[in-house]
Amino acid sequence: MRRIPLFSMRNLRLAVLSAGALLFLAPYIWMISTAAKSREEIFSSSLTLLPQHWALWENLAKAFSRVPMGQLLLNGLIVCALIFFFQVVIAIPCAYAMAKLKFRAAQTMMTLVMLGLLIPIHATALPIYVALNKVGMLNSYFALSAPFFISVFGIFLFLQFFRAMPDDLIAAARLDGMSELAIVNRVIVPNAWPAVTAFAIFSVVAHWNDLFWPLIVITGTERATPPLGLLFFRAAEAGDDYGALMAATLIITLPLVAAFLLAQRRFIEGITLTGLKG
Amino acid sequence: MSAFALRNISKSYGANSILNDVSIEAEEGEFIALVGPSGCGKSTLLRIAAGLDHGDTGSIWMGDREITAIHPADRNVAMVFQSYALYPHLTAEQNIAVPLAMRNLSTLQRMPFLGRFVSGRRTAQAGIKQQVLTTATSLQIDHLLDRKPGQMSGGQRQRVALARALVRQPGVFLMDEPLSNLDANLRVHTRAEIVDLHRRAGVPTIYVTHDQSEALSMADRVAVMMGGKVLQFDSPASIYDDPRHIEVAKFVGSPRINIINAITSENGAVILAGKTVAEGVTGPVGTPIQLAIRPERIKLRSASAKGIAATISRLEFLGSEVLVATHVAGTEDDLVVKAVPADIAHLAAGAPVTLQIDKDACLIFGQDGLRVPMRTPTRIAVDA
Repeated sequence: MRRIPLFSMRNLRLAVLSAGALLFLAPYIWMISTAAKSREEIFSSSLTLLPQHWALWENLAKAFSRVPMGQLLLNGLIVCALIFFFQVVIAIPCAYAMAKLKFRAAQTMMTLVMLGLLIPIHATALPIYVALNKVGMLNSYFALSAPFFISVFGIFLFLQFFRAMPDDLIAAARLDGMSELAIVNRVIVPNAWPAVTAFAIFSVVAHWNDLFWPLIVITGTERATPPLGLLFFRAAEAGDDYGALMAATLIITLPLVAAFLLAQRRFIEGITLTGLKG
Repeated sequence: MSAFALRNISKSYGANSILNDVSIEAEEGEFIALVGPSGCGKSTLLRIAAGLDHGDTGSIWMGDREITAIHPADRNVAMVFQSYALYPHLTAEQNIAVPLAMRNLSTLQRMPFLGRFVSGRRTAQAGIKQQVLTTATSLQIDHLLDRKPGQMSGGQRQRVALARALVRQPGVFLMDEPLSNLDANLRVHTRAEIVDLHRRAGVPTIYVTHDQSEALSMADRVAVMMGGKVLQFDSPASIYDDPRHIEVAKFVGSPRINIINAITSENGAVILAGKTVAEGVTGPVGTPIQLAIRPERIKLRSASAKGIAATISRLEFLGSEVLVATHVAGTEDDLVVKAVPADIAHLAAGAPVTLQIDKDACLIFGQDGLRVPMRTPTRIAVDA
């Protein structure tokens, strides 16, 4: 085998990429480091990556005892699941109709979807808040999830994916006696798993980490999502207890990291899919 | 009364006319081929027959039942697609079972989990399984039943698609270029199999293809379509020997038929290089016509023989036969002659030869492309 010289292009590339990776990972690494340090050590003048006295368990225990961590995680799970479920249930039939059925409003709908992609939640937040307030639905799972039930991004993503599906397949299904709904359930969905997975990643990551919307509609901890819970924790209890705060952060980011590691291949497939076909 | 009939179907997209008053009918157990160049409307016609598309005018009949407005699923038609259109997530067995499951099981019985508890499902499913197995065995794909389409070759997928169409015992079989995705060897082999299958099933079949040799070799009757019209609907022999339109003559047959522009003389004679090749063409003297002659109806003779003098411009050796392009003085295009290798053993490009055109080999078409009627009794090819 040919020896690779130390200052080759390959090593240079690796060095640049490693430096970049380190830069992006640094805050997360620092968070883990802080989560394992005691209070005195965090505020000491010397900066060390590895703590001298391990206080990870104490910090984790504080995080669990001072905020209802279990409740927060459960809330996050329920909200993400609700949002994802309704998004898929609405977006898939909608995208199927737009991709494969011929009807007069198709062009208009396409324009509306494109417009919808341009409007951020921040623009519509106030009217939705007022409406939820009027019907007395603030501080509920419904308030947390309902504004996201219709995902134009989801419709757009599925639309691109369904367009690539052969028309003959749908024609065959119709001849075999399937209704349009049966076609969606029995032909489209079973073959759309890559798109569903990709969409699940985007949706769950976005709504698990979302702070903006929960901050607007939730005032108490009993319906708070993890990021909002952290905010309450910081404001009310922790004050300057950064070790416990970082331990709490570690806990709420852990499910996503674990999910990513478990589904790494699918995750990358999903991203590639949206990159290529989107 | 025909088993399956499309009557006066027209269809246009905006100003674009796709089908123009097309009528096709199939008798009980008949194999009909729709052939034409791409874009002639043959696939659209098939989709209209299946109910996947709708004509602007016209009606569709199955026996004495009009099915024009009936949903595709309730027409009892089966279709084999060019891409096979198998469900990628289902095994061959499940693929073949789909049309039966959709027809024989109720909505409740088809439910993913709850269906198990609905009465009668088990018997119905056993029946379906048996039918699938019988069909699969008859197509020799019973060993592939638990494979998914992705794990099968093109030929195997094609058989599964045929089985899925066959299993429901349809009133009519529609096939949309089912062989065009197979390699050349397999295609010829599968041709014979489909014809055999059709004979056994006895179901009227409409077969769309752009390959004229496929149409001629498989079908009982062939409809040649061009520009949204059926130019001729006839037996393969009539299509080949007695084309009604010059486009039909040009489309059918390989190598292509020779076309020569000519003008009629006294008595309706057509003269090629000083020799009369046809007589009795109706119409006034001096009418411009097109003369069409099949390559195998021209004989290649030595230069000293009696006939039309020509020179060889190109030779194409094909094994059992040789295509000889010859030039006749006073004509624009070369005349292609199909000869046996022995005929040209000592000949090369540039050599002088004599052409003899068979009696009654000349097909005369007018400027409008239609056959020109001949005066009867016709006396043809006096000295050619």
